[in-house]
Amino acid sequence: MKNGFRQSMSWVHTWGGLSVGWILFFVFLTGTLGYFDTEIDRWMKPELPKDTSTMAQSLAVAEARLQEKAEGAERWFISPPTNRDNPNLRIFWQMPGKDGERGVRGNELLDSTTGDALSGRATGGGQTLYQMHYALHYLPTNVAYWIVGISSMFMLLAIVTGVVIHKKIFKDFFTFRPQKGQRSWLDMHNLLSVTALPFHFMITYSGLIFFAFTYMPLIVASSYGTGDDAERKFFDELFAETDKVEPANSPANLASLSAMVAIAESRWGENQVRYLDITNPGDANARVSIGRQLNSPLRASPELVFDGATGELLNDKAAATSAPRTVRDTFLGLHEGLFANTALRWLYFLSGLLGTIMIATGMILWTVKRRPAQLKKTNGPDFGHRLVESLNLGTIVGLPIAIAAYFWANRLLPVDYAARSEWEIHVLFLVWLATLLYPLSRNIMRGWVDLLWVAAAAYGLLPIINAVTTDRHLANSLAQGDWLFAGVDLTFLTTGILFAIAAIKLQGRLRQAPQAARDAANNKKVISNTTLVAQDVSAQSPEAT
Amino acid sequence: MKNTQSNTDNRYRWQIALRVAVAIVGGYALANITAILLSYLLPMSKSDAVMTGILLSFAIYTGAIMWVFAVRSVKKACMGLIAPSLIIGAVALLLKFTGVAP
Repeated sequence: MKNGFRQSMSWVHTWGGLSVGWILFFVFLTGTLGYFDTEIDRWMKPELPKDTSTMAQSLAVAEARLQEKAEGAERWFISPPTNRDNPNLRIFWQMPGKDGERGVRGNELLDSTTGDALSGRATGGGQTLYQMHYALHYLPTNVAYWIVGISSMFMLLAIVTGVVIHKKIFKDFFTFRPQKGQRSWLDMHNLLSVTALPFHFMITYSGLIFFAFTYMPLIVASSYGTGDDAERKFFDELFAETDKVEPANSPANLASLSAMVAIAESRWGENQVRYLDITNPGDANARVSIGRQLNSPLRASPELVFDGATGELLNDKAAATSAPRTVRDTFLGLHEGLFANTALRWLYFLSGLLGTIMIATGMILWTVKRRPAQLKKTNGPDFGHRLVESLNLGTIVGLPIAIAAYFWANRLLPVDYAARSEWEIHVLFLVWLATLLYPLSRNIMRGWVDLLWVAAAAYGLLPIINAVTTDRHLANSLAQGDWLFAGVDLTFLTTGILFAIAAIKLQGRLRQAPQAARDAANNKKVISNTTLVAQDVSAQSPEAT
Repeated sequence: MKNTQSNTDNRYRWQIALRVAVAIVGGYALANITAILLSYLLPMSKSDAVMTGILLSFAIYTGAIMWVFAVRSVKKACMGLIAPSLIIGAVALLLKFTGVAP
C-alpha cells in the first residue's frame, strides 16, 4: 500500500492501536487490578475476620454446612483457607439439573471456628473489577467476549507490527529525550513497550486462548461436529475426564475427608491441599478429588482421586498431560499468575501498569503528533481530532477516577442498603461518563490539569475515608502488622501522590508556555480557547517551532 | 485539480476500507482453514490436534493481516488470501470425504 514494508506496518500499528485503544486501556487497567483481586475483596469487606483455624476444623465445618445446605447435590467444592486466593473457608455446591439443564448453584464463605456463614457488606469487590476486564459490564457475556477478543487481536497485531517497525529496537530502548514534546512521548512509548514486551505478548496471546473455543469454533466443529454434545465430547477427551462416574443412586455415607486429606498431605506436605472436589456426595459412586496448590505456571493442579464411599485412593493424576493441553494450561496459568508469590505478584502488577501506560502514551502520541497540523487549520482542529483528545482524557485519567469512586462508594453507601453492590458499579460508570463529558466544557489542556487533580484527591483521600468509616485505618493496620490493609491504603496514597506530581508538572509546563502560545495565537488571530491552550504543548515540540 | 485530489482521496479511502475488510474476514478464514487442515494432519490424538490448531490459529491470523497490508496492490492482497484458502480448504475437504480425517 504505502511505500515500503515498515511504513505499511507503521500505518497498521497506528490506526489499529488507536481504534481499540480505549477498550484496551480499560481491559489492561481492570485486568492489572485483578492481580490483587483477593486483596481488594478483603479491603472492600472490612468486617471479615482473619481465619486462623486448622484444616480439621475447616473440613468439619464445611462438610456439616454442605450437608445442611446441599444434600443430594451433584457436586460439592471446598476451598480451605490454605492460600492467598482463599483467605476464608469457601464452599460451593451444584444441585442436579433437570433434563440436561444446569442445576442450582450456591456458594458461601464460612467462619471455620463457629461454622456460621460469613456475610459482611454486599460488594462487588475485587472480583467484579477483575471480571470486567474480559466480561465488561452491562453487556451479554458473549457480546463482551467478542468485543474484548477483537480488541485483543488488534493488540496482538499492534505488538507484532510495533516490533517490526523498529529499525533499532535495542538502541531505541536506551534512548529517552525528556522535555521534547512528541519525541519524549515516542521514547516513553518505546521504553515501556520494550521493557515489558514478553509480558505484553504473553498476556495478549493467552487472553485470546482463554476464549479460543468461542473465537474459533469452526476448528472444533470440523472434527467433532456442532452442538452441545459434540462440544462436550471434545472437552471430555481433551481434559481427560476419565474419573467421571454417574451416580449409582444408592445412598452411602461419605468416607472421612480428613483421612483423605491426611494421605494427600503426607505426599505433598502440610497446607498443600488447595481444594476438595466432591462429585455425587452421599452416593455409592461418590468421588473426591483433592487438588494441590499451584506451585508453577501450569494452571492445572495435580490431583489425588478417592472413592468417596470407601475412602480408597483410586488415582494419582499428574497436572501435566498432553503437550498441546500443557501449552494451553501454561499460557492460562501465566496469564492469571495464581502461582505467584508476593514479589512476583507485584512484578505482575507493575508489568500490567506498564502495559496500561504504554497504551496511554500511544494514544497521546497520536494527538501530539497531529496537533501542530490541526492547529493550522482555519476552523480549528477537526471533529475527529477533538474526539480523540477528549476520549483520551476521559479514559486515561477518567477511568482511574471512576475506579476510585467505586472504592468510595464501597465505604460511603449505607452498609445495609440492599442494592449497594449494584450501585458501587453504577457509581463507577456514572463517574466515568462524567469525566468523558468533562472535556467538552473545558479546553483540553486545562481539562488534563483539572482531572489529574481530581484523581490525586480521589486516591489520596481514600485512606482517610477508610479511617473514618472503619476501624481498620492505616495506623491500626501498621501497628497490627496487617500488611494487606496497610498495603491497599498505601497503594492508594502512592497513586494519589503520583497523580498530584503529574498535575503539578503539567501545570508548570502550561505556565511556561503561555507567552509563546499567545504570540502564536495573535499571529494567526485564533480566538478559540481550545486552540490557544492546545498551542501550549505544540510550542514545546521542536517540530512546531 | 481540486477534483482530482478528492478523487484520489476517495480512492485511497476505498482501498483502505477494502483492505481492512479483506484482512479481517479473509485472515479469519485462512486462519481457520489452515488450523483445520493441521488438526487433520498432525500425528496426535484428535483432541490434541484440534487444540494445537486452535493455539496456532491466532498467530496465522496475525500473519495474514500483516500480509494484506504489506503487499502493494489490493488485488494481490485478495488473491494472496483467497488462493491458499481454497487450496488448503480443498485438501481438507478431500481428507474429510475420503475418510482420512476424522
